[in-house]
Amino acid sequence: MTMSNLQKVLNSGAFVVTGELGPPKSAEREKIEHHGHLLGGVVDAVNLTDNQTAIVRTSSIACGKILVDMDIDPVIQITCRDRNRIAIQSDVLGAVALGIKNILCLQGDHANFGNEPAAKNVNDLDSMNLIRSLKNMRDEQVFIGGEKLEAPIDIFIGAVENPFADPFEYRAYRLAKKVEAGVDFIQTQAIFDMDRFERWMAKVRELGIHKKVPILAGVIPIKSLGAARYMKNNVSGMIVPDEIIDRIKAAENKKEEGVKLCVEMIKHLKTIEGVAGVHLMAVAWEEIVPEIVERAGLLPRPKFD
Amino acid sequence: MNNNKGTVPQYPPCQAGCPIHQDAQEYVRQISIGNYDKALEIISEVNPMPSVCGTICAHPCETECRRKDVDEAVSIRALKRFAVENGSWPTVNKAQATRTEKVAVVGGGPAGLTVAKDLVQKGFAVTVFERSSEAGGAITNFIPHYRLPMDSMRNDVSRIAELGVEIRTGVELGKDFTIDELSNDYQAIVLAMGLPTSKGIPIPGSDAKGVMLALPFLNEAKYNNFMFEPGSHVFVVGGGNVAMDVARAAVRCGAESVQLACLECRTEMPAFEWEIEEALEEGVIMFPAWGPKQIITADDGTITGMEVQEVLSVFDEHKRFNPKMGDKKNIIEANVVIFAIGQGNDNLSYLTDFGIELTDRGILNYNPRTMQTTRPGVFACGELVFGPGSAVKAMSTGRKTALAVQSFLDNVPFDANLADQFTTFNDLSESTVEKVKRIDRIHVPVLPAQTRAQHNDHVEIGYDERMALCESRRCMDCAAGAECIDDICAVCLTCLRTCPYDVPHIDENGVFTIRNEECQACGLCVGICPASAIRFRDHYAQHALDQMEDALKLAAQNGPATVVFCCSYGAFAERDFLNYINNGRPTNLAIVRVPCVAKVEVAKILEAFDLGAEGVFVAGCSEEEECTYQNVSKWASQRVGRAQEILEQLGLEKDRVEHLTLSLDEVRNFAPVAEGFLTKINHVLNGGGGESE
Amino acid sequence: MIVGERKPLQEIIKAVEPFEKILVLGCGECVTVCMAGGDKEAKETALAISVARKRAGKPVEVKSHTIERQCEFEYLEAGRKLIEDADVIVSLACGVGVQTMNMHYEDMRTLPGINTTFMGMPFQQGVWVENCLGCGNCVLEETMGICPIARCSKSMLNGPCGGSQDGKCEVSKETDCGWHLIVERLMKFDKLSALEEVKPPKDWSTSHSGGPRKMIREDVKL
Repeated sequence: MTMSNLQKVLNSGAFVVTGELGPPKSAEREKIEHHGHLLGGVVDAVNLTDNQTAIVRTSSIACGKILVDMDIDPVIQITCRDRNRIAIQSDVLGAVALGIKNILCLQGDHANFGNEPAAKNVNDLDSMNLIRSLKNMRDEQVFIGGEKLEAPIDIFIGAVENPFADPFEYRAYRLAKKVEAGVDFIQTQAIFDMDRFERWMAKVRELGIHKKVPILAGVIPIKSLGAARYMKNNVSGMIVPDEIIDRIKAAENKKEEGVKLCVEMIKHLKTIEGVAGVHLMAVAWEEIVPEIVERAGLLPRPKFD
Repeated sequence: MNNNKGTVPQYPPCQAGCPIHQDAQEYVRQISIGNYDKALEIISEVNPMPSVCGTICAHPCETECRRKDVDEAVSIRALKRFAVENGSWPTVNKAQATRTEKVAVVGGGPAGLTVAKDLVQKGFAVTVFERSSEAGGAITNFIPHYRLPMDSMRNDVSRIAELGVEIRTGVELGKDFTIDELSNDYQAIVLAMGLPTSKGIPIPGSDAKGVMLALPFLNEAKYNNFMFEPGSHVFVVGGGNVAMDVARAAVRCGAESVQLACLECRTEMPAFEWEIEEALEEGVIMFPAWGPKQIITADDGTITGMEVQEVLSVFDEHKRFNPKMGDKKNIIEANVVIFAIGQGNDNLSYLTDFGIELTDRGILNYNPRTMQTTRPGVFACGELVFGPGSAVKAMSTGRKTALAVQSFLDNVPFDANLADQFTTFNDLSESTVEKVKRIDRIHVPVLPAQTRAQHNDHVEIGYDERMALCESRRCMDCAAGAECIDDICAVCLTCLRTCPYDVPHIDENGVFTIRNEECQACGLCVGICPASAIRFRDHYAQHALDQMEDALKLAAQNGPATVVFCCSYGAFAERDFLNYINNGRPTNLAIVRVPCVAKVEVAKILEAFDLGAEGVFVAGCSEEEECTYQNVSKWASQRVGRAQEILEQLGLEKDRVEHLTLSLDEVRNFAPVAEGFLTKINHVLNGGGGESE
Repeated sequence: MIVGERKPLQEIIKAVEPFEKILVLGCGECVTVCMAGGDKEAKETALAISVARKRAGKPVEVKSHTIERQCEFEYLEAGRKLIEDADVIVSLACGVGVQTMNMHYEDMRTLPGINTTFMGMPFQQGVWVENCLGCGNCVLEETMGICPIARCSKSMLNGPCGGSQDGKCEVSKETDCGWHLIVERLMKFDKLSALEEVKPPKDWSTSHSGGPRKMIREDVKL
């Protein structure tokens, strides 16, 4: 079985860059292809969010298949909010059958936030259960209920950790638990409070986790003052320090400042021991990704056969 | 208010402490809500001498008042006087004669008059034989004007006479008629001649000119304008109430100086504390713990001084009267000596011819259980057989004797021990005492000490309306308050959390009770109990709330009606406010006074609307310091808020219901406030007052 | 205890519109304690209906009464006369009581007057919080007495999620993050290592997910 591109780049030791694509609220294949074109070649893999913030969008797996058809390595996301274990396991089998390898496991934002607040939050599994279950499907060839898969599958299991959530003292331990559960790579929540991220990384290194799992640091380029404020006030689990807000506010060309800031952060992250790459989430601003990756000195991306 | 635990009544401590079991709690409460007439009615039902007791009663009720553990006892006696002077006397309903028997009472003092009143109300014909020219006994004969104006006594006596008691004055047993003669016409006789004789001490010099005895002196001072010769230095022997009266009367009779000595030390002196204080204020100089040794006279027999000897102790370890004298002696200059060391009965030896025996010491041979002398059908009561005591104590003996006489005439057995059984409550627990708001007792105004001893005017000025309203509010309504209806109580503990006084309580065994005896009757628990499982033992609060229906009906006859719930205490009890409610208010405004606005529940407000009210205002006062309760505004406000929420869901505008607190001025000038309510409601009825405003 | 809240009055008033004799029935147990449907609320609800109907020009007879426990047939039986005298019952009991009423008085219309919400406790007077979901397999021992199913918005067994901030859940700043509380409590007793174990997926078949449940004690059956 072949590895995913993401896995190959990680194994090579090169600094990884992953991107993200938020599917539309429609069935417009063209839109996905358009963004795929933007990102293909400048990142090593592309995340497809799964009804992020509980807003109904084209399914992650479907979009993943579209990217597969474009020779782009997708990282599909599975939340525990919308599906029970039967649907999830079924979806995993389907994803692999469609050529998808990278699967990111998340709990999922509560439905209260989205455009279907009346929906039932399923949460049959939690994200930790999900990681372990996927590992067991791959390594033991067994479903959650105990039955065996008819044939083995190969997947590259990812998860998210948030250094900006509480209780802070516990976050590194939780990461260790995810490693124990079977995670292969980690992407973090977007970093703005570098200080806190560094403290978290220090703890991570202390526990030796950085040696067990590659950590991709999340970054988001700020597009406008409004965007910065929105992330500060309305997105749970995100910390945006006032200095950042002030910096954007003071800048004449806010977009340029946002890009500058993002590039600075990426360059800094490269220097932190244990950070294996960045996860660039330029959602609704995918077109800026090539510029950022270039200015951060991360082009060209390594190619493998 | 009585509670019957089984067949024995349970009185609040004030009522238990009163020998005639006056329902002090109830009349104090009536005063506190401005119903002075009702207060006087309650007093008169039980007390044959309201005016006298209101002025000079020894007030054992105050000694038992549980408020004393918090700050000071409620000033019950002065409140009684206030009711007497500000309420209307209830009409005297002449007693119906339902029995053929007649009873003779010898002696028209408090004991005799009480027996007479009670028996006449039981249907008997009663005649009181009084040897003085006026009935009243020691009160009439001896108590000085400055302590008790004559009108008081006369008022009380005339009401007893109006009831149907025949009072014959100027006739004396043993001189004008005999026992046998009485028993020809009367089927029972009650001896109530009291202790009209003053005792002296046979020390050297006690027969000198210028030595006087207390009671004759007091009588002279009261009725014959007795004045001392200029330069009289009076020395009073004695430490009891009579001695205080003698000393203070002596000051008013023009004595140059008045000094007093008694065996007892200052704290042991038997006189009431307040009597001693007032005497000292009037310039009487006292030497407690000094005993009279001899009266020093000059050659011509006039008194020059009093030799006194120090007293080390009065009572021995067995509490018997056994004075131990020390060595120190002193001579105090004086030229008049008045003995006020005790009273005794007159010489009763004339009674022995008629089968009425005396003891060796010349007092009646008396059976306290049957209340009879040795001659069947001849009873005795009052100080004559119970020894020196207060007027109210004498009255209570008279009351019991009336029962004894009735049993005798009904030919049924009587036992005085069983005639007056009752229980009362324990003291307040420490934890409750801590939580009750402290409010100082209001001192009863008296004339200034420097000038009042120059005349015989009544020393005590008494309470004005505001003082009486404030003082009466200090009553804690002992045991009138909350009790749990166990059957429907869900034991949810809401009352426990809400009560400021820790009355609902979980004991060490985990058992929940509402400790009714600790309750301050603030009513917060009743209002918040979700199961309606708490009620007050006394129904006055419910009764007040129930007035809403009729008041609203009446108001609705005059246009769109608005209900105002206001407090019934403090400024809301003043005459002017009551006048406003009765005469001055807009006729479509129903003003309902309730004992604390925190007792108005959400359902009551809804009920008002259900009965057709267009608006409901809940008006408490803002004088937090004066209110004896706690958290009233908070709870009233929250309840009204909830009512508003519910009414809004029914499409009724917020402005129709409001909780507000009024300043003292606003209550006293209520008309504009009332107009304000109506203006608000009119505005609503014309389309305003909704959410968009 | 079971907690509920009275339905908006307009909803109740609309539901009883076609009826002429209404009985509001309170319950003396849980809904009394959480002040949704006890005697007080029954009286208030009856008065509210009466006021609304009077003002709408369609006065109606409304009575109120409280039954010790509306989920017991015998207690319901005791109120038969009053109940059968009415056209419709507005029950302020929890959903259990309303259904028991419908079981016992099959021919009566008993409508729900409250929305039953959760199993919880009075955290302070006037504030009731949910803390049990009746999952049928209690794991409180593992989480030091704080339920991850009920107190975590996502019922995680291996929480907290990434949305926990300052001890509060991402759903609302008024909601404590259950897992934050669990972690703190474990840290207090120095038992944080208990979280190292990856808890397997929950067996939901013991919860309502497995179908409506029954509890039987054979030894007390008549």
